[in-house]
Amino acid sequence: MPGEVFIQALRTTLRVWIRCTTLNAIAIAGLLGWHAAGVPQPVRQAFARLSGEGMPLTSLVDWLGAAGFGILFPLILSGYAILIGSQLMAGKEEREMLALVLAFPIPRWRIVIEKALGLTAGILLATTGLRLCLIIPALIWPTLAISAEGLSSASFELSLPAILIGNLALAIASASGRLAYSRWVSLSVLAGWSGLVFLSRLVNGLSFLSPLTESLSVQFPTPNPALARLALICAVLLSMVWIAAARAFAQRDLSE
Amino acid sequence: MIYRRLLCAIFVARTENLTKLYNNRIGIDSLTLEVEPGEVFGFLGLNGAGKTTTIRLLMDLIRPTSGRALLFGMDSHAQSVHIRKLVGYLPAQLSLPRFTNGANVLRYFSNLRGGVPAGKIEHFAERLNVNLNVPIQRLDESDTFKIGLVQALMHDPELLILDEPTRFLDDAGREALYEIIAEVRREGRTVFISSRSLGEMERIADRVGVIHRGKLVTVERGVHLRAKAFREVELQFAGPVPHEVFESQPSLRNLRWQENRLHCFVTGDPQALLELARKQNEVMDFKARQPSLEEAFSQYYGVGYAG
Repeated sequence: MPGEVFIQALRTTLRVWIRCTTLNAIAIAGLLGWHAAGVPQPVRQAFARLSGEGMPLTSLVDWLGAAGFGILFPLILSGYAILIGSQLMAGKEEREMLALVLAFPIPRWRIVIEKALGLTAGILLATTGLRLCLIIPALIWPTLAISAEGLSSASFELSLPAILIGNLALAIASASGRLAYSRWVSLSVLAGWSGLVFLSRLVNGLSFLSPLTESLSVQFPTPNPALARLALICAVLLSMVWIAAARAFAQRDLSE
Repeated sequence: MIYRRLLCAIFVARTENLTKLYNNRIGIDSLTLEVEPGEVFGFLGLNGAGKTTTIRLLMDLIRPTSGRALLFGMDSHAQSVHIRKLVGYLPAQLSLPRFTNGANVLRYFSNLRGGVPAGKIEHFAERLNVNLNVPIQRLDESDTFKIGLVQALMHDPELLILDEPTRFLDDAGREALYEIIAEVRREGRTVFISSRSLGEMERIADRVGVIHRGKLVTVERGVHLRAKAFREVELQFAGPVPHEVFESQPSLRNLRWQENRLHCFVTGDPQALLELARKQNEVMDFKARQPSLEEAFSQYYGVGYAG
């Protein structure tokens, strides 16, 4: 029946994402607490430069936008996306289950695509969870005045790099069946990408990299006007990753 | 097309010079075998002989280095989705999702098949005596394999491929499975079952393919295998007996004497030997045991133990 693998992948994704949302909630609480305690000026300057935001980052929303949406949240979400993406195709339990699932009359490509869709839907739901985590402090302290539109846009924008990197991990795991390999390659790609983003913000001469790297930066609290274009680029990249993953898995010899 | 249909009518499964190399190690080597419709085909071999490799090739889980496998006259790779509709498969290593119960896992498998009547699932679960409401993580290996068997049986497949299904089963589960296999056979469906147990193959298989170090050594009719069955026997006499009486018996081999104690292999029924022994002297002790698969291989086919 179509969608059965998708539902299973979504369940697995959400089960792991509960931990990720907890980590994000801790990060939010930490940022709020740090802000309340007073962030030293050099730290604020460093966060402003790394996130590409303007100083002084004195308001809580600006601080959350720079340290949270600009740096911490994308890294946490992408890290978790790598963990789950690779696990869905190469985790011990999943790998052993594959021998059985492949005995059912389902084409191999559909298994990959349904798992990838499950992962993607899970990440989108998880970023909604993050949004809810931010709404709670806004409800407690109305002075925060977090814009619902800005929050929605930022949460969606936040999910894009995680979706891309998570699906890359899934594609590598589909092609190789090796969990650690898939994780290390994806982490290297994430590290390279993040490094370029931070370098383009820190080093003046590298600002030409900005169009390439800005996809990882999330604009908060103001909605990103180019969000639709960004989503389209991600969709194209995602399609390419899925096609490659499905082809590689269809040809793979499951000898291990 | 006509040739393919004809083959399908003659053979449910057929491999043609099927070879699988893992790097430079031989998985199976030029394996050609045929499984006829409605038979229970046993696939007997030691650990690492190539049984699982052959089954994985039939199921298109791995790809052959050369040769090909056909199921129902269709290429196991090119038409794998069609084939899998007709096949029920239990792998040798089975892992099920731990955070749910057997009923949910089987519902998932049923949905993957496009829906199987719940009554079928309950029927086989009852016969194999497995509780589907217990979380998987609390089940022992025997019950986990029973759930695996239910998923292989639930859609009444034309061909049942079972990779060492009794390895973890308890005695009652094994008996239940033998009964189910006999029923499947009576209904004209085919069973391909691998095993390391000679006794099991003697009991349930119509024909047995013996595989050793990746090569098919022989394919025997079950009745021939049973006729060849031998046991290791130890007899303790109360006093001396004439050795030549026993040494002249064609059914006895590898005779060894230790004073009044005789060790030997006996082909066929050991009861005849006991009667002969009683005529010579009082028998103080009589022990008979089934040979191990390694001993049987060495005796029948002159192949050494792979270790």
